[in-house]
Amino acid sequence: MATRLPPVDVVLVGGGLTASILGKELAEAGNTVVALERGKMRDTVPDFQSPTMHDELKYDVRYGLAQDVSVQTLSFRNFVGQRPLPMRQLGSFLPGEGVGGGAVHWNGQTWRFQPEWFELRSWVNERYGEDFLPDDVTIQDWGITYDELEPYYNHFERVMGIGGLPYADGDVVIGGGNPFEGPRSQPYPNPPMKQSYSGALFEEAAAGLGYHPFPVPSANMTRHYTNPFGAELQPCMYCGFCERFGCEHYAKASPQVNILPFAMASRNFEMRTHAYVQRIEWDPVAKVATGVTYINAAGEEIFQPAGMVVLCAFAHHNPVLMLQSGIGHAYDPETRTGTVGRNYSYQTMTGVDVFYADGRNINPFMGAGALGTAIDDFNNGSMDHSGLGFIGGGYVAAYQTNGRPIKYHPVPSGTPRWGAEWKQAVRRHYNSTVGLTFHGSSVPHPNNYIGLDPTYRDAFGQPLGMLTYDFPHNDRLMARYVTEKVRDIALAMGGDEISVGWLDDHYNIVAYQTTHNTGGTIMGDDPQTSVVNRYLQSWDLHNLWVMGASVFPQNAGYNPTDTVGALAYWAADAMLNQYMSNPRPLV
Amino acid sequence: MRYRFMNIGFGAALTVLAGMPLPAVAQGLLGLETEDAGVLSIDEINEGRFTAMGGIFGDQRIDCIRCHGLDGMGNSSGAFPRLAGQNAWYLFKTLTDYAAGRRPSQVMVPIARSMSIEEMREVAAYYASIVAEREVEAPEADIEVRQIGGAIAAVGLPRQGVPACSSCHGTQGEGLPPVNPALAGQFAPYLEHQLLLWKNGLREGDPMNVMARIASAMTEEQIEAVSLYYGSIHSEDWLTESEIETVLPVEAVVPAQVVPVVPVEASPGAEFAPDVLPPYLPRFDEELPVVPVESIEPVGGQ
Repeated sequence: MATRLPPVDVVLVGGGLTASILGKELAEAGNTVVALERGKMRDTVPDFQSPTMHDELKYDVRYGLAQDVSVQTLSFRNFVGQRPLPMRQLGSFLPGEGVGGGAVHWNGQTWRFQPEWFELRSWVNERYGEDFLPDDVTIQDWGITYDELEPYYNHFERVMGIGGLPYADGDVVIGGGNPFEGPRSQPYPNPPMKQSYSGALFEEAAAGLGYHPFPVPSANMTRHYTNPFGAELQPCMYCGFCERFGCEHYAKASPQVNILPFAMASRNFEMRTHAYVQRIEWDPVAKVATGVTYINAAGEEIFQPAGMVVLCAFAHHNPVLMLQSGIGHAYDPETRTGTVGRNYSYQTMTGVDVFYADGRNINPFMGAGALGTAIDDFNNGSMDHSGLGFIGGGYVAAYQTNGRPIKYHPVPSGTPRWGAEWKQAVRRHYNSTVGLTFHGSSVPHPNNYIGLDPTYRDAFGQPLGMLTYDFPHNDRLMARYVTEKVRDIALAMGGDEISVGWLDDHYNIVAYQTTHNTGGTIMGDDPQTSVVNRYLQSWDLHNLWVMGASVFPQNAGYNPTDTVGALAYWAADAMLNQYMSNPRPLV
Repeated sequence: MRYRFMNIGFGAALTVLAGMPLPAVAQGLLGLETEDAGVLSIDEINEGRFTAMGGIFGDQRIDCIRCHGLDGMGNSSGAFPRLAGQNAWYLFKTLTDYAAGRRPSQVMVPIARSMSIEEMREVAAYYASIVAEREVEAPEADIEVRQIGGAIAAVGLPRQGVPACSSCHGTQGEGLPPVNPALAGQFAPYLEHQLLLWKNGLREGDPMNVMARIASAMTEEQIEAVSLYYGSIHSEDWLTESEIETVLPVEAVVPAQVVPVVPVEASPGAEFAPDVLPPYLPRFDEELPVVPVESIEPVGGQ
């Protein structure tokens, strides 16, 4: 029998970025808010201190800040009909665990989606015709436009202190920034990062081919910055320990530094750690969520009643929680009906390494998570897809994130994987290699979804979430097309040789790609094809809301964090100004 | 006296300068080529030693060794820091900072302005090459104050927005070449004086104003505590024996002619007048003044 606690106004499932955003806004507005975090409390001091934080083995190789898959994991298969097996080690993606979630070990690459992404289906139909894509490319409109989201993008970028170069100030073109991004109401709050030598080599070659290079927008601070709440951030030291690490310098925007202290300052807010949420409790007659049941650190089952439940867990976990709770209609790939778990998308990543033989000092160790030079000429809204047979695209960047000793060993393809020859190659290429990344979009496909595993269970006895995913044909064509363009840039960079990493034949969950998993509880304007409405409110239970990248109907050719943050502020605005005073379905 | 002969950091540092902020700039910036800039020859270090002793016919008109010692150990007055074993790029940059007016000192500014880039490089290399054979004497301090300093060094002052010193200056205060100087075994009064200069807006030279921000967020008591801490810990980690190849300086080759003064390029915003000669030069029998914080006029760029 679960222990029943006194009710609160709002319970947030998760303690990461979106929970911090909502926790602060809702608690300051006078609501009692409890955030339930499955992991432990973490803060800059004492958890992210140097030199222990710079432990590549612990945090990079052994994923010290990521989810503990011995407690709960996913099972995986490439396609319907294959036998799903549990993911017993992390690999392809790294969900966070502990306060701050994935926004502790992120890189800080902070991109806005182009306006076309939000109305993708309408845009494709209008521009290329309704027959341009086969039926199995189930792209949708988001139910929100870029112009509606722009003020929230702007606010989130100010909260996080993003550094970058705008292309235009109003109608006046400044140049230097990304000419293909949507209009912005204000420039970035901070200047761009100092560009690396690798970025300069890429910039020269890309500009020579007629493309438009610019510095990647960054959440690694480029100067001392005080955010609108009063959080003080320090300039980034380019130490090369961003991804998979916490920042000891107060230089990488994170919930702990930028938002959470101000939520914690409210007497209405509580961050309750070691609380593993099992399910959302709901009333099928009244059609409302009544609270959540979780397991606390002592292993006891606790029921936390709440007037409103917000799912702020990682993208996989939101649809899995809804499925485990029996809310909404589970997606069925046979009939292609149902919504929960539908339109799971990922990211289509390829890369090209350029090896210089003349002993250039690239110095990869002088890096930062978002230190990079990029072009956006091959993103969805930047190019003409006529005759190409696919939709989507992505940006291309020369990132210089790290040169850490255990895992940074760029060698040309064909080099033996170990032995004397490999060692010689590592020695030769360590300091004279530039890596180019293609960060491609991902369209949904009827085969790709999140369900519940029929066989395997987690440590609490609940069925595991089951991921079915392979690269759709559309994305294979897209990756091939753009990777060829990246290869041309790489050849123009004047290196001695290049290695092209084409897209794999099948998606593989073992090798790291990105932690940009999206979909499963997608937003939209039709309850038949989406789980939440344009305000991220559940179509089924009006007091259940869902945050994070699981609401993306398809994934754009960008990193998701800026859009996740902007949507959280957009939803918080709707909660506070439309919903709280009169709880009801807003659409 | 023993010296280490090793890559003293110019190579990596040059790429910091050339590669990071201005990637398009040729790597031959400052007239140094990356090919062999990382290692200075024994001759060059000897030149540095020679310059440190005053140069030919005393053409420097003032010698480094009078205040900092031939062994680079300085003294505890707070005005003359220990240079021995400090990382070479940092020492070189310090001289350029003085020349450009980014650091205030009525003594060091004119001296730095009279030096050529080559002399700065060689002197820096010379002092960096010294293996310190004695420790700076630990200052007398209340053990509790020193413990507070140790805590600040290890974890910073999170509520005041001060990150841990050890994040950039090394776990044991051994420094992180090329940019971040070693602090362990430095004189506490010197460290305290520099932090107060930053706190009072009187010195620059720290990348992106990091140290100015940190110092102004600290109280004077905290500044004293952390200075005492670093002044009290041993500096063995400034270098390790395995890295040292001891060389003995030979008598320096006397340059055929006096190296002309090469103007140092000032950073944007810093005023720099390369033609202005040092306003005065102290005589040998005159004791050099210790400049109290209040009386220091900011020199350029303030």
